[in-house]
Amino acid sequence: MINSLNKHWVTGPAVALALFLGLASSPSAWAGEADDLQDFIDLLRRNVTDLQRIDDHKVAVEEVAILSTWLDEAWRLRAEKQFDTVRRVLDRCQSQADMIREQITAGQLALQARQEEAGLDAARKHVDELKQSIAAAKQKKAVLEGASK
Amino acid sequence: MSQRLHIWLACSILSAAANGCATPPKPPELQAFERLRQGPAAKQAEVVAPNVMKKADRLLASARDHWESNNLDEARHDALNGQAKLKHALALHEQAESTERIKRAQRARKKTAEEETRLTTEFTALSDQVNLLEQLQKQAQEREQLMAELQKQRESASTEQNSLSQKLQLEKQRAEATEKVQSAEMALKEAETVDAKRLAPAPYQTAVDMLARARQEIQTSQLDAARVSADMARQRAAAAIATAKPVFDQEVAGNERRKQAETLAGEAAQIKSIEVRRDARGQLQRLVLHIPSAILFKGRGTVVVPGSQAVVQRVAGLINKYPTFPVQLIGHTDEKGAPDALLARAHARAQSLYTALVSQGVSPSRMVASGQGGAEPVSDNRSVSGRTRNNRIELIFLYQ
Repeated sequence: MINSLNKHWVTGPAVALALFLGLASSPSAWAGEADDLQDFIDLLRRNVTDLQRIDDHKVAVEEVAILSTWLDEAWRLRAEKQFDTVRRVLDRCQSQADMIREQITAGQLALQARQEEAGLDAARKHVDELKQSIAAAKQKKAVLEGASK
Repeated sequence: MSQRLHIWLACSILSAAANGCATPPKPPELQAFERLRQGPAAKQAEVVAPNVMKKADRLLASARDHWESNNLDEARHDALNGQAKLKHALALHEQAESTERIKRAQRARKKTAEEETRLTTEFTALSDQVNLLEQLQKQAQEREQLMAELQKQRESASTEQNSLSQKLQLEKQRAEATEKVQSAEMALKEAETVDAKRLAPAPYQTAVDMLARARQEIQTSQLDAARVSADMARQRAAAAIATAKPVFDQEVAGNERRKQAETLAGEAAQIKSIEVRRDARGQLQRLVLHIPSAILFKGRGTVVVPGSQAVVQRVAGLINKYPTFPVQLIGHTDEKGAPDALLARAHARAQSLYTALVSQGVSPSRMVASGQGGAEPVSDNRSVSGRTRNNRIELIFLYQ
């Protein structure tokens, strides 16, 4: 379920970035490029907020911080009108965001795996206890049967 | 000089060229990227996420190219982007590993759950059996305790019962002895009622002594001996009764007869012209009513004259009033005449009175009539008055 959500979440910005990069090469779109870059940076910032929200177990705090730093860098470069550099930084930010989502998912799956293994350990421990209890009960039964004869 | 200048300039130009063409230090981002790529996890990630890894590798190659081309910003950018891709692949690999761990754990959990279910069922069954056995053992212990308690109570009851039985036996013996003593006392009382103390002194005294002995033996709990003594006392009292009773009864009857005879004599004395006397012949007592012949007969006649009816009735009344006395009628005469004639007249007169009394309701079986003639005079036959007195009928009531 997490994967499906993430995939859906991934495809939106990726398509937007692709369109943006395609349009950016067109001279007719050059004037509005600063605004488009700003929109895309805002979109990624909201995504950062979402990533922080879904990172329940704080497995990607440092990576999210790096992403925020890169977005700040992109914002600064946009202000300096270094649009090509901004596009490269945003491309990197997109990769970073994709990676963070997968890390969060991996963290959640790892947690789930640990929980399953812990449950398995507990079940095995219970099985061992049951085996010990059965052995004790068999011994007790033998003693009681011996006493009753 | 100019040649030196040219050489220096050439060296400077060559040095500057060498400096401009030399590879710059590798950016730390690229170094980190390479270290990450050389890690063991990166090789495993190639299997899970080959496309992402290819992108990362392309970026690594691009970064190296940029670095070698001294284009450090581009190298840094590609290294960072490639790191993100590589980390992305590593995250996918980690996801795959975790997923595999989850599946493995779930499969193992399923098997464990099945084993757990089987073991739980087995343990539950065993626990039930153990509980049942424990309950059985507990019940057995309780039963044993109860049996022991019952046995103890039974023994206690048996002891108590034995003691009680002994007491009962003793009391029964005591009651029997007491009953025999009471029986002997009753027999002794009965003996006293027949005056056995006087009439049968030996058995009576023996009975008294044995009774006292039986009482003493009861007090000292010699109950068998007491029973024997009481029996003996009762037997001796019975013997005393057997001895004394006939004598006592005779005495009582005689006394009664004597009292009746006294009363009879008193009543007879009230009849005009009749004399009454008492005498004895051996053990036989006699109440004699002297009836002058002149009252009953005329002259030398032998038929009761009608004028004597009142006397006859009164005499008949006396005889009937005292029915237990046998009656003897004896005719007497004086001595004037032949003895046979006198005897016949005396007998005839006695018989005549007998008949007259029977006619007045006296039972014939009670009376015997006879004549003595002049053999038993009661007066002097030489005088008239004497002879008159000797001519008589004696009506005799007999008793002992």
